[in-house]
Amino acid sequence: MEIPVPVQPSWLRRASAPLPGFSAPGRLFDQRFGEGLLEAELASLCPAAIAPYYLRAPSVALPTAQVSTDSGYFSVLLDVKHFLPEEISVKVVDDHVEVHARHEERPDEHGFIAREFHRRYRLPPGVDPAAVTSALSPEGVLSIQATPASAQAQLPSPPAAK
Amino acid sequence: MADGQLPFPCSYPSRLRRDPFRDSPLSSRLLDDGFGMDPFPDDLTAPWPEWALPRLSSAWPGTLRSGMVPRGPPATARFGVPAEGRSPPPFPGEPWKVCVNVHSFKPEELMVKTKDGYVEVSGKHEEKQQEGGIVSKNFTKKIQLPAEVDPATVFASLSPEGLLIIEAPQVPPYSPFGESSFNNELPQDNQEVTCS
Repeated sequence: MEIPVPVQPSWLRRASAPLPGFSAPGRLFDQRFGEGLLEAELASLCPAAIAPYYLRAPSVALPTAQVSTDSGYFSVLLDVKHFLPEEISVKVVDDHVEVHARHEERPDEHGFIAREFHRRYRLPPGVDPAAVTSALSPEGVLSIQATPASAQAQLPSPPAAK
Repeated sequence: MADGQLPFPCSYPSRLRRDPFRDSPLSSRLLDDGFGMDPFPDDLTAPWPEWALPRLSSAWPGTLRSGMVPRGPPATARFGVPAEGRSPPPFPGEPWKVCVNVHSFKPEELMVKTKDGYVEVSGKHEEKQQEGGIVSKNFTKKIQLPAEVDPATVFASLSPEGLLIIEAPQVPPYSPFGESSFNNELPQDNQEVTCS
């Protein structure tokens, strides 16, 4: 038997005591998959393990920027910790980068859950689509980067920190 | 997403059986008293020392028989709007409650329903961003309902911070296995709300 449950604003209901979940946000924020990571969230992970990605992605220091398009560089960090590597696909189509991840229903703390997301980014001008690379950290951070086409002829050097 | 039968037997998750209060009539009574704090489903899945110690060590507001334990100050500032005064629920116990973060999903992109002893939450979100970016994400989450909850009494509310709160009153202790009478009330329309 299916019973639809209407969703209404929470202030129309009786106010309850402070939600115990707020003291453990990691348990509740399981629907924030496929979103860009801010510096605060990145710092909450194990800093030592992701230091290489952090150093190569200075754009993460900007709280409002998820995609760095300054001077032809392209850098994106995504939270994909709920997906296995084989459930994630990254591809370049013309001048766009497309990320797709999907996992079937699996058990979680409350019952079962299935997730899927698509993200598409436009590459900045001057970026060579063939130079796009992606890496997946053990903590579930997907890093997608590319350098300007003119920089391909030079020796690789880390981008200048802002 | 396949809506077919569950790949697991209904007895899953098995860790619930480790709670000694789960199957005894005392379980409903303990939950109804509340002990001055909200029962949270995660507590029921923890081993019983972790479940009982925080409650036994906290200040005891009253006796076991007092079902109307005074609540803490209402969190009106959290939602930015003073909480509307509402009559207490028909049962003296605290409602069953689960919070799901649905940040970046609009209310019209969410659907909640009860089916086969589960609360199904579905979200489908699409948005176009500047510079030609596109974002689309969806999820389906099934939350198991306790045996003491009538599926027809489940309701959901969405906070401005993008927190979906799913609640349901629990069956009173004098009828722990009372027969559920499903009402034929038509579901009310979702009220329009913008989550900033």
